[in-house]
Amino acid sequence: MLINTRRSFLRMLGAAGVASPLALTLGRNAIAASGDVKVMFVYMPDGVIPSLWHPTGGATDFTLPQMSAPLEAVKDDLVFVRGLKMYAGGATHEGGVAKLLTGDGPMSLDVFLGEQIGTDTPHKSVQLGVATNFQNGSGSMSYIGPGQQVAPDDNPLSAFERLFGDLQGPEAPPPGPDWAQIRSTRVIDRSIDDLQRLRTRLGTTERDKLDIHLDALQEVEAQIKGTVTGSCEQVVWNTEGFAVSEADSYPKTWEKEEEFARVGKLQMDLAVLALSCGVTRVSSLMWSHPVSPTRIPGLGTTVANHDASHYGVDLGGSLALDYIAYKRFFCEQLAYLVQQLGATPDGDGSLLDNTILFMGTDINDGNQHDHGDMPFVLAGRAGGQLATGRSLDYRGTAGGEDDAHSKLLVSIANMAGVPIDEFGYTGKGTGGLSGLLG
Amino acid sequence: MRTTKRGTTTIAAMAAVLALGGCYQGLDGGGDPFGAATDGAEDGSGGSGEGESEGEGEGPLSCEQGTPGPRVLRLLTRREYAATVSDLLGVEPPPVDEIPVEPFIDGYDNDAQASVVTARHIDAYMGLAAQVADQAVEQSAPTLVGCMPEDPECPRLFVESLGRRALRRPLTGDEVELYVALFDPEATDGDFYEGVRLVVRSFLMAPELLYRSELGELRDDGLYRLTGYETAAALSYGLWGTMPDDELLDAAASGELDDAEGIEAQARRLLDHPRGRAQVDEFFTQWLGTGALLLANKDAQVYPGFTPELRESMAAEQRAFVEHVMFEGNATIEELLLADYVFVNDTLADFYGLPRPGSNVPARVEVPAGSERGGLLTLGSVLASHAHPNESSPVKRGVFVRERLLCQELPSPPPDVDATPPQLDPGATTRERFGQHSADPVCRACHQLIDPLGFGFEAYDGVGAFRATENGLPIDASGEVSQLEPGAEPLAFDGTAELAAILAEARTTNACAVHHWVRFTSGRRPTAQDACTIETIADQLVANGGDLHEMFIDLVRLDAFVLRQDQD
Repeated sequence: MLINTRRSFLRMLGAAGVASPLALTLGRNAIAASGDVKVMFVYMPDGVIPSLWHPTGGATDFTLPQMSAPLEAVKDDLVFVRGLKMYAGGATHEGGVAKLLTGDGPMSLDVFLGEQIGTDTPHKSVQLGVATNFQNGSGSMSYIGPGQQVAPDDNPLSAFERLFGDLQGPEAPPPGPDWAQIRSTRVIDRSIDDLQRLRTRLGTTERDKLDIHLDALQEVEAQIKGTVTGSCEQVVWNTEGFAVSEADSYPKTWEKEEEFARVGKLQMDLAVLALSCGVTRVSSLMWSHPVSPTRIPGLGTTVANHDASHYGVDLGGSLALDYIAYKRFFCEQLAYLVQQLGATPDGDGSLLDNTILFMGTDINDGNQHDHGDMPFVLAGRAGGQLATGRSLDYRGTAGGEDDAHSKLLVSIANMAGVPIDEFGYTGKGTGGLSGLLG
Repeated sequence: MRTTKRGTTTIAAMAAVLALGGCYQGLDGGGDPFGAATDGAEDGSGGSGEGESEGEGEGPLSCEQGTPGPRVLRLLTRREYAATVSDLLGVEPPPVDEIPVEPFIDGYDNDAQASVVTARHIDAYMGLAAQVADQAVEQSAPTLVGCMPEDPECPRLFVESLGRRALRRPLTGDEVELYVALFDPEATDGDFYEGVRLVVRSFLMAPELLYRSELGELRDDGLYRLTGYETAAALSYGLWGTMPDDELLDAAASGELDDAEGIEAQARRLLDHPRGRAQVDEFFTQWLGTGALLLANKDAQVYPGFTPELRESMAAEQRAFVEHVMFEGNATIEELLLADYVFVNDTLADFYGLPRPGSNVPARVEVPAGSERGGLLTLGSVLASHAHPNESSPVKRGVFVRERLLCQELPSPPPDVDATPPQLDPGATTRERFGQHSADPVCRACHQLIDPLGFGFEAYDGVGAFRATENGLPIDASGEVSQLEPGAEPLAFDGTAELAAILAEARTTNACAVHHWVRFTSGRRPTAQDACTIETIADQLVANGGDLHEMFIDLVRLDAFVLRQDQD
């Protein structure tokens, strides 16, 4: 089924003037999955200028400076969190992105929560990206095991197909046995059997590797068999005219700088759709990657994101202005994402009401490569657990030092209904972040 | 085990890593579990004593025969996967864009530990398997199957013959039955070729196809010895980046690969094949870090001449040069560094200011020894890859020499350091602006090991063009190599030609080439134990006059090539 619709879907997209918006209809009975808490993680590259990012004013009565100002429109739906440090692990950008969602432990929170709350959905967790694989491309925030990255999918068309590939498209399913499903299931079962035979010959470390492989086979098998499905009968996804050109060998169309903003919008829409349709309960979205070489056309910038992040001492200098423009862009995107979540019905309220969204980055100050006083933002009300419209400051609250960001990870897990009290680093104690909930 | 001269070298070489790792005291003690470059330095600083005992101690093998690596599964890279599918079924290499990119660890795409199969991999593999099975059946069903559908034995014969190539070993009787069972009418609807497709798809999803699984068979001494078939796979993926061909599988079957002579004979055949050359090219690209050349952002305002055509010409130059030295030349570090010729097409000749060879493909052009071009250090691909988008980079180029050519790993800058590069200044040279590193004591500890090397490249701008002046000021490309060997006196030089001459003579450079080849072919970061093997092979390399081609052969002749040990 996956296989058949792969072709029909690609054929559709290949047709000139791609149908837009694109609508597909689910061919089987849908089950409702709304109302549960969903989780989303967003990454933006290369830190901020702290004095131009953090809110000024009171905890509930604050204004946003130049860099974060585009979030003004949605600030009632946000919680700004500063004064948390990403302890342990490696210094620099790569070390930062590696511990952003792991707290320096072996697994990232998106993958972990997928394992915990994603077993009733077709995809345990979904990692999307915007030009994360461009150029050096190293450094995902998602880890399935120690040092084992989950690379985000940068191509929104293939991601759509993977997430909604079981939708039938305009053609009605042919009568009779579903041969595609029967055959794909045979292939997967054969593969699982081979894997289990190989597994018996191995030690623990390599068995762990095959267990990850086995989980993946079983996840895809459940999708093929339709034993877990999403809840949408119809999906409308506007591809904005985006199509992959065969002529683009490198960069691929979806990695091109001139497509950055459009691909970003498609990925955000896709994440909202996936959460709203119960295709997954956990999604992550990475904008570019650490030490980002990306230049986003239309911002009036002259240098790439990371080069601008070393803005020097002059906040009015051209590097600083470029850096500000990049950060404002990422804030505009977050504002759009929050608005889309807010406009999507879910359960008795909106998707935003039932989601906890976390946005972070890999370092604090672009100039300095440090991991203290990180600029984090939360959005959504997590089913009423999180009061928004606040600005919280944790500087010096852990025995005079910044509190640990791993406690925020614990709080996010708790909001998602997973009762853990530590995640990664515990050098500043266990439990969630005080003063965040209730 | 006796303390040999080689053992002493091992410890000394590791001490060099220690010296660099300790160039400042700000290193985070926790270590970075995610493969940052600091790991190696930290291993070195914590492990020099261990190295002594592990390198020479109770292990069942001597340094001369190497240390068996761990029994690991190595997921095929996308490049290996595409080549394998193509060779197995006689189809074009399938597009692999939908398979997630490999994590790059130490600059290499084949890290065994970091590469795992996620749901997105399965989705991509499933899609490709179906697509490729259709294509193979459409294109050449009779050849693929090799027997008549009417023959009741045909499914079994087909499974046996394809299986031996797909899993790189003969199938057991059980396994044959399990694959023949895919011809079940309830799955095929009675269509024989549906059965063929199912078998093809299933082999393409088999873990033993998707991973290299050279696990070996347990011996009395607790080590595992690779079977002949596993040895064949180790040779073909190591030297070709793809599955064994029929000749290699037959050599495995006949027992030819059970001793070092048989292995050597096949290794020589593989290396001399065009695929062997392509694999060596790929190694150089990953070793030299030039894979990003075609993709790197360069500021078009600063470098308007850095066109796609020029980038491709530089990539082609590197391939042509490496192939020439490694397969037609004497395959030495010396020739790689000191060649008095270049391989350029007309586009690149114009860029280098050399006479045009009258060719779109790289052709050999002689250059005077010691001139501004010639050898690895002055390849456009190397210079442009290790530079900023809008300027040269003494730091990147210095780190390139330390880490890629001397194998001396440097720690990342300490946390909380202000890493702002000096602002562009139209009144100063890059060298003058970067002078702060040597003025600031925090920076100086490490940058005194980096910048004086990188300054030697200052006659080349951010895209590798030669320049005698910068901003109207004369270029100063003088520098020094310190710590070439542990405790060695600094050696002064002026420009890349003199730097290349120093590096070409150094044993460290030869040992480093061995280290990187081992890294590339083993799919893991060499450990303190591997240092023993690397040093042994480096000694042989130097004794052989530096012939890297022979070094590849020396490595497959080691007992360690066919031995593995449990890692847990």
